[in-house]
Amino acid sequence: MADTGKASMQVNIVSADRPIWSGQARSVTVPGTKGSMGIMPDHEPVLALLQEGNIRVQATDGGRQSFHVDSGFASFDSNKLTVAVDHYLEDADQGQQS
Amino acid sequence: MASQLAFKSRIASTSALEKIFNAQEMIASSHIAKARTVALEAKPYSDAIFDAVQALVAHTDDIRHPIVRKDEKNPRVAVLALTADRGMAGAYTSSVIRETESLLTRLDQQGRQPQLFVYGRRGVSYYRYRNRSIVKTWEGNSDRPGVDVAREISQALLETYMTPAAKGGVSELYIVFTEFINMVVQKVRVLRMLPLELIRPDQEQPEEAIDAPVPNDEHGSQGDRYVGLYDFEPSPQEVLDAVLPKYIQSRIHECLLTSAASETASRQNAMHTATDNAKGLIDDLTRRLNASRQAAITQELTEIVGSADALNKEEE
Repeated sequence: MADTGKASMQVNIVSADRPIWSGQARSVTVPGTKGSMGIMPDHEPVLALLQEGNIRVQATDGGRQSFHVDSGFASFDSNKLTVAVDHYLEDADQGQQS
Repeated sequence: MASQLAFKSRIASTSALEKIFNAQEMIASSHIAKARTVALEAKPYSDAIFDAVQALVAHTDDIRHPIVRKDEKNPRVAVLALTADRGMAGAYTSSVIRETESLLTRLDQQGRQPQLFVYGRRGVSYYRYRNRSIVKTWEGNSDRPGVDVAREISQALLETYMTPAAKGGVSELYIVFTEFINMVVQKVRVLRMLPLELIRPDQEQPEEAIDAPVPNDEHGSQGDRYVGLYDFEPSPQEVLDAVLPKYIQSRIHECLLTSAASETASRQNAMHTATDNAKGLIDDLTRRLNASRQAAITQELTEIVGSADALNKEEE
């Protein structure tokens, strides 16, 4: 997996009209309808609805990303996380490039 | 023979038209590239939705959702036709309308009551002029439809679909759109969007039985890894309620995008033909102008020679 030796997972964040971010990450926090949900590599398969809030990504290269999104869903399966949202509103706080 | 002046003015106006056609052609070809990018960028989202729906189908025992239910008793069906906003796209709108008409006739013959929904100004004015009742119309941006219009359309259609039969709901939804195959070939297709036919991944079948416009390659890989454990947050039913409408919206968006690409491609083809025609016309007119000028010169020469001869004769 990741060259750092730590576990990582493939993350794809897409909005209805374009891809937003994709890459390897150590952990991702998504705004689930029942509160924030942290997802780490090798999480059990899950399909969760999202509400408006921030998606926070801790990338394997150490970068942190944050995306403010409205409703959508996140699905995790075979160590691959896909977050599909209706709208990507804007960067919530200063993340490093993509 | 027409006067040289008349030829000259016709040539001038035709070349002005040629310039316009040529410009339109170039505009269309630049839009094609854009339409392609837009379609490519929307693909990951529709793939994600498709995967989610597949997961739902594979991990829930029995999907009982109105979107997949078939209410045979209701004769009303909805038909959505995707046409262009502007003309100058060759037969684009008229072939969609022709296909829609034949679908409506077919449905009529089956004893159904089609309800018409139209997207695109050309289609709307066609049906308005013929006093067809249209349930709802959308106009604007048919050559670059955004997510918003896809959402509006899918919300309106789902609302109609979810309404009970007694209150004017429909039991099926058909979409007539134009599939973009390549720059030269665009095909009008009829897709039955609702009710959805969900097929379990292990059945190795495309998701919709008829005319599924987008092949889904993730499909094969999904079949092999059936996992019993799958968590749905907050609950399978709620996830289903949220994801299925999104799936419909993304499918409609896909239809809109492929139609937009087709529209632009037909416009480019039409404008290319028009440019060629204008060029041919200019060549022809120039030839006739030259002939008429030549004739005038010949006539003048004959007159001069004739009168000189006459003068010479008088002197002798």
